[in-house]
Amino acid sequence: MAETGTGAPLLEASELRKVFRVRNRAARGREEAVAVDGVSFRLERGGALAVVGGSGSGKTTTARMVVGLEAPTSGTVRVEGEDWSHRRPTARERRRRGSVVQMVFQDPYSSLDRRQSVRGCLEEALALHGAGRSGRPAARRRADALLDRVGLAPAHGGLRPGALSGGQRQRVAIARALAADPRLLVLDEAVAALDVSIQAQVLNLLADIRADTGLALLFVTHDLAAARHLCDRVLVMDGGRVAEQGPTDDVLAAPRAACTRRLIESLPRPGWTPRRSIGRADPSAAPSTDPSAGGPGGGPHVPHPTGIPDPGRTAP
Amino acid sequence: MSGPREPALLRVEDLHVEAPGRPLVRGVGLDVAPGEAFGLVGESGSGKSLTARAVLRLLPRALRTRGRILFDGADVGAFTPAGLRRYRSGGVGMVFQDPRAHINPVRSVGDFLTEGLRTVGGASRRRAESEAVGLLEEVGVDAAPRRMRQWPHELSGGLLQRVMIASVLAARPRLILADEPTTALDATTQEEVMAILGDLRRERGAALLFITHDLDLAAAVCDRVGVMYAGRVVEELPARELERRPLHPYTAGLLRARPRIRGPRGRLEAVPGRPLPAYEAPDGCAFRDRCPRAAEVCAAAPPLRPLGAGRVACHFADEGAPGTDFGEDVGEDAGGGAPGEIGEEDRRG
Amino acid sequence: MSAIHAERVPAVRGALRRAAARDPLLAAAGCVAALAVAAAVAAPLIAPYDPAGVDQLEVFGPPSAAHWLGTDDLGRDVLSRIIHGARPTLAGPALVVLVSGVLGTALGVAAAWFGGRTDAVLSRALEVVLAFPGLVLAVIAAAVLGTGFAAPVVVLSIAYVPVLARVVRAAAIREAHLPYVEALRLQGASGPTICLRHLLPNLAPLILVQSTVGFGYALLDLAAVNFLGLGLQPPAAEWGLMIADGRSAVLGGHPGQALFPAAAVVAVVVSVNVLGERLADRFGLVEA
Repeated sequence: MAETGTGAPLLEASELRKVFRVRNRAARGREEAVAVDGVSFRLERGGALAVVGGSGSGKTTTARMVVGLEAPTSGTVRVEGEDWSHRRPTARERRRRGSVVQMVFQDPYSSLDRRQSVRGCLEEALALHGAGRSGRPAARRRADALLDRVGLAPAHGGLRPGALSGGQRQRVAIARALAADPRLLVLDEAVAALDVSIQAQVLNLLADIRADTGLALLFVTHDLAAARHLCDRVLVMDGGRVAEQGPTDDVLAAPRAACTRRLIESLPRPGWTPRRSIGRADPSAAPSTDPSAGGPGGGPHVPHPTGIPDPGRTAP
Repeated sequence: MSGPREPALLRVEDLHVEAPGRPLVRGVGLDVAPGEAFGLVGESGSGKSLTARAVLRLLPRALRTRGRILFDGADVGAFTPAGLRRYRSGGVGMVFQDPRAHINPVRSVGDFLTEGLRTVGGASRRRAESEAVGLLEEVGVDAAPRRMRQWPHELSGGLLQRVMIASVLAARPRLILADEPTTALDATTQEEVMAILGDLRRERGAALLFITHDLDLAAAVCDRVGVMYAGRVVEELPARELERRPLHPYTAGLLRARPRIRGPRGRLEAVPGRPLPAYEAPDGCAFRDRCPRAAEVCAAAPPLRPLGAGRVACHFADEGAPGTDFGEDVGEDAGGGAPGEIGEEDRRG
Repeated sequence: MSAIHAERVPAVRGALRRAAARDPLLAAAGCVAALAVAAAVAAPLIAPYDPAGVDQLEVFGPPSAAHWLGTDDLGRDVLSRIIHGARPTLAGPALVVLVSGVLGTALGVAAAWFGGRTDAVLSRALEVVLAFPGLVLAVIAAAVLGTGFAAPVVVLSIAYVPVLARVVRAAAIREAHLPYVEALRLQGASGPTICLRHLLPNLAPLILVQSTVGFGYALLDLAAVNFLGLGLQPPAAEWGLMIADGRSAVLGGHPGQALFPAAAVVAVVVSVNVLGERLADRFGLVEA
């Protein structure tokens, strides 16, 4: 394929910022919500970077800017040195970009057309990337090869998504993404909705594909443990900013940002007890017996945990 | 009915749920003691949520149920409409997975919280409101009086789940039924919500039936854990035992399949195949197609039998935790368990 | 061959009988609709008499073996006129539904897909059309363009566009925000491809249900236009017109001439609504 050969990284995001205008009933008008603020990172060819954060951290918006589903308010996304972020792509450009970057979505139920057979879906994707018309024997063979690649049988090709389990659907979504033979796969919480035993299978599948083909992965997740198994590097986001980034093992062994520590501590594990970080109205945080519902005392409290970007986080 | 030592607050006996021609739950039995936290863990299709709904008699009419559900000794299936209302409003409180779907979007948070207090509790408007504010503060919602005037869509999922918990607590239930209450939340919010639920439950002495797909979470917040597969309970253990010495190969497989934050990185030991609903599962042991230890004997359904401190439905279970690295002799604990909680199920065997 | 055929017929009959037992209302509605369509298609073959055959000796004849539904003020066979009248009575709404369906779907999908200014302009335009009741427009059209079959059909076809377009737009917006559409865009599929190959098939059940319901409304509106004398003119056999013709006879103690075509209108409209409702159930749609 057309290599740019300039030594530019596969993906380079610099100072990405996204501001959404949201309706606010209380303010009687629109106000701005900063979803992503000054996010920069690089991903080399064949690399695997996890973008980890809680809900509202801006990780999904970042992924959507990378693939071009959202335009950044400012900052740039460069893929193989080419700026993708500041022009509305034509259909042909989208197709060309699609052959470099593909995405797998979180919800395996709505990310496939429910009226299209699995084979129809794969052949359509193949046809868009120059593999010949759907229905031809060659396209059929390639669709079956994709099914095989993701661990499905040719017989699955005749089924509609409704007849598949969540894990099988996610495999189809991965196969559809692979149809374009991309160099980067963006996974937006792609295993979060799957059963535990299936999650492991899909994580293994992704690791295998990466090992076999050199496909780079951008793995957006709230699950640090899953990120650790799939990615060498991790970027932790909090309140739209980068809290820290580095090699996964280093970050997990010695987290520098408070939010990384919180994420690690909040993972259920043997011997773990959930703790409240937020106070309550009555100061009796200890399990003292207080059968009454608690009086109207209290007063203002620690800010609520989601939303509201936290100042004082350092950009890289 | 050999009376259990401690009378169960909730007892499910040989529960079957069936869609026309499709068994979904096949003979679930479990006991939840007063004040106890019981975790019911399973993957999709295991029947865990149907079991929870059956406890509340919330199943769709198209599903047929058999078996008995006893709440404080009374047969839930025989409740009159008035009795059922009392049971649902005061006996059992349900926390759902998706609070957004279960809180009326066109009523304010305050309306949602005070409705129950006023209609069931008969409180005056002002008293109900001050009580609701108190509840919100107890579940860690800041600026509670302002929240009362807000709409559900203005709150984040984590906050809304707390509102849901507050509304459940308002009725002072003796059993809290939580169906995947944190699945839609991120890990930090999940910890928060589970901590709040745990604290308040203990303070008020309410029992908890916690439905989840997350073994680690269930083991961390519950006293006992039952693992369901294909419509059956395949294993039941005290929570602290479960993580160290799971008895059933399925439980062991789930624990190993889970990515960890420490330890070796490499490939995950996935459980092959996919979780099957009861109507698709093979005869005999429903797990045998996916089981590393499956043998000919597995063509016969293994009974759920007492072993150590718990119960297990596996032919191989007494040879140490099958196929695990956790393998220690589990026999040493035999007889030390809670015999009262066993009786029903193994008679059916 | 014949053996196979002979086996299949009872099998089909059995299946129909089971369906009828499961949902008798649906079965009845289906029968009424099938009868009406059969009458419209094969009127000359089915009708016992010439619908225009005047018989001065049989004026206001009561229902009898010869004339099942009696005769009218000119001695014409009411049953034959109802059967022949099915054709214009059903063809009108069918055309209205077809034309407004195509236009409404196209505009609804276009508004949803392009969004922004296109959506705003289209939506406002549709609201303007929606502000005029179809029946009023049809009356004005008859006054301007003259009476006949075509004018009310054309006007109602336009008047019915916004109803469908708005429903389709709302559903298409929901559909277009599903991740599979985003996945197709990332693949590089063009807008028309996504709309035609993915959005439309997924919207088809909704469009079908809406069209079924719209058919009932259009039938009522057109019958009303004809009743008011602004559409088809006597001696044409059309149900609305027949009701109008029979009005005076009702007071004269001969209600049959108006009553039977009125019953036919009600039966068909109710049946079509039942079918629409059942279709919606079948596709898991909640009627808007």
